[in-house]
Amino acid sequence: MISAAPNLNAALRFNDTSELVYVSPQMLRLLGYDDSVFFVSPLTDLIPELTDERIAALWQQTMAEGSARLQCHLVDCSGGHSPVDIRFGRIQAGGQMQLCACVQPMVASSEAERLLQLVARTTAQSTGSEFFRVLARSLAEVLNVDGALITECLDFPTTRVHTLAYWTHRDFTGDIDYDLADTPCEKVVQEGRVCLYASRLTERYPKDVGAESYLGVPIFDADNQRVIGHMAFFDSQAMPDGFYHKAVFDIFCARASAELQRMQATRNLRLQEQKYRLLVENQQELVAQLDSDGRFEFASPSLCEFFGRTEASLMGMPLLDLVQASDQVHGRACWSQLGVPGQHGEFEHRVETKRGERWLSWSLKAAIEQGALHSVIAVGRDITERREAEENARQTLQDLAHLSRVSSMGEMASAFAHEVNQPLCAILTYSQACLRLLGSETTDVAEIRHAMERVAANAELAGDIIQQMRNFLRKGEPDLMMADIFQVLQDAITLARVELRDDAIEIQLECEQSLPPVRINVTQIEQVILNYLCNARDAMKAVGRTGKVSIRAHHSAPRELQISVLDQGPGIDSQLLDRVFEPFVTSKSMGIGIGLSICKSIVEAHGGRVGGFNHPQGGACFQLTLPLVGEGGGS
Amino acid sequence: MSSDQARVFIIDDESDVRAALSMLIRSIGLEVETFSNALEFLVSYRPQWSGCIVADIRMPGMSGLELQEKLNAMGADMPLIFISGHADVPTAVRAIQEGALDLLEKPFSDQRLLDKVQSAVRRDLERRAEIEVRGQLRQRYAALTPREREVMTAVVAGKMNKVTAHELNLSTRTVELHRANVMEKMQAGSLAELVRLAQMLELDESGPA
Repeated sequence: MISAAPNLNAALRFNDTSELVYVSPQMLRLLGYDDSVFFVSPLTDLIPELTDERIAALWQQTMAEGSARLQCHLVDCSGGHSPVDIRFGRIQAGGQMQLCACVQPMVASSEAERLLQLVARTTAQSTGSEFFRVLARSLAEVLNVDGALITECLDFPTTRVHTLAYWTHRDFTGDIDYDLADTPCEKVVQEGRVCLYASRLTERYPKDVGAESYLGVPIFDADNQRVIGHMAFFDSQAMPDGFYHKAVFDIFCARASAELQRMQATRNLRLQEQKYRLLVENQQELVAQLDSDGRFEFASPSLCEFFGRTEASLMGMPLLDLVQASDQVHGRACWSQLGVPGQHGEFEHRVETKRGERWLSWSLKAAIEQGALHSVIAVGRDITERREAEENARQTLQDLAHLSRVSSMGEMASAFAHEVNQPLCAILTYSQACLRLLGSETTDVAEIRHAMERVAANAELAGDIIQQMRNFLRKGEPDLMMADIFQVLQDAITLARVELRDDAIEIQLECEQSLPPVRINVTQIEQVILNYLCNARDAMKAVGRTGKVSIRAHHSAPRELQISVLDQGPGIDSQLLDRVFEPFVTSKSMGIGIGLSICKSIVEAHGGRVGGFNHPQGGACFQLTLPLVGEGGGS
Repeated sequence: MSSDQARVFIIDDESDVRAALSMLIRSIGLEVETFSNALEFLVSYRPQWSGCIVADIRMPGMSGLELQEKLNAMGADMPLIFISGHADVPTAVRAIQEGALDLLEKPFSDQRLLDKVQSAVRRDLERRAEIEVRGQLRQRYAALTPREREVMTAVVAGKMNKVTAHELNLSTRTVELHRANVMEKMQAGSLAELVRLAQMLELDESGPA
């Protein structure tokens, strides 16, 4: 061990007459001399205890025992004493046996062992911030300095550091953040250099009052690329030579670096986890991960809370099991769309919860791996309020539409009375004629039979009219139904004809053959068409025109049905053209203008749109366009 | 001028109302003819038609009131009975002012309609008979000489032959002769009848109206 690397150590060699024959350059440096300086002083001036007699005795001991050891003092060039540990050994040089003395500064040898033991102890016993405190304190005590601190960098490139441990005057001070500028630590951290100011520190750094000496050692990251912190020691006395022992500090620094990085990694992890937790725990959305069969693999706390279930009880359970039975069909339809890459699906359903029935909307996004459905991220949202708002809006529209029907029926009442009166009059007259014929001698049975048939037919007609009126006035059918638009148009025309009979206005229906059924609220759409027809009538009547009103129904687009009502009136006032569907816009002196705005609301509630413009060949044209849904969509 | 047999002309746009009315009216033995609108009736109308018209006031195209105006303008004075689903007061007033016999609101009592129809038909027949008689009277009156018309006026006024002879500067005998001629030409069996005939002719001092 002693002769392992003789040239690297400070070493002396003596021949068998105890004459000094070699001094290694390290030895010169240890003594504070330059290589170039010719060395002439007697050895005892440098190592007073190494007298000739002593050397002779050590020769004998080394020859007899193989080695010897002497602890003594060096006197360096400036006259300072420092303890050294000298180990002696034999060495073969140029055919001669020589005595080799390896000189180790004593701090660096025995103290290093102590410090290494300390490191072993602190690493064994503490981690995290406690580790840094123990390390700082132990080092300060062992090195016999006033203070020690360990920091981590707060920014990169670093201008500011934070103390992980700050030991001074036998106690810990609270941890602080400080700027590196104008401190001895600046170079240590920014340049990654060990800085030792063995004395006269305040001459360079006036701010460091009371500190005579300073040692700063950078702490590098695992790749030795970047300084992530540093250790610093200071004292009111000058630091002895050999205070900085690189090998030992390297070990400390590596350990501190590992600990600091572990701490930072833990902290980052915790921060990320907190962020993630904040995200998942505090969001309103219900988040779930499902396997390829739609079973829960993960459920967010919000989801568990919403359903009043524990996460464990949900694991492996199909999401669809939480869906109300009648709505499961929507969920299955949505799921079936997910097989295609990049696809996502949405569905809404009801669910019974402890807060009553709620509406949920799910958005599903599939992860496809190797062409197969791997997992699905499902994000659910409670849309009960939205649904209720929609329901309220629908209810309001229904009420409004109903009111408008009632008021239009009021306007049409006399026309309706006439309409019902006609068959009643026929019935009464037929019956009276029959009674008279039955009383006479010449009873014509065939004629009476015919009359009675007409009585029945007229009674039916009267009933139909009343039924139609009642349907029209009914509060509203909540559900949409698949309807034949041709029939709807004909019913609307029947109602309108009641009104138009005196006005010499003809209604002409032009309907494309075999129009597909459309999903509508029949009464409401009938109301829109009736409204259009009555407007057309009013427009023509206002200018004293007779003529015809055309209704056309056709496919305006593959999935669209358009109904147009074209009159031969004066057309829409150009100033009102863009606003005819707004509430309270009217061209009629008597109208309140609510009709068309209700029409617009009704049609838009059907997912359609309305339009009004002047036809190039004269007259106004009002339209409604309805979307055609799948035929199987009816419920 | 000869009159056809009296008929009831029914004008209504509702076929069942037409048919039922027709049946009802035929049950009392009247002839009926039906039209689905006013124009159709006007096109077919002949002045010699007698009877009455039963028409709906409210009809598409030409309304009942318009029909009434047209008939009045043509001088056709066949009695007109309106029926209506719901006639407002101004319409009814106007119809009556324009000479309608009545306005019945649907549904109406059959007896009331039939009474109205029967009386209308009777009235039209009487009117036509009167016109006939008056026409014959005018022909007879036209056959009188001026002197005979003077004598007739005096006789109808109840003057004695002597007074008439004096006024006309004739002999009593001549007046008696003229008077006999008047009685014969006018086909009057008695003085009382002659007076009635003269009233029908609306004779006064200046001659027939």
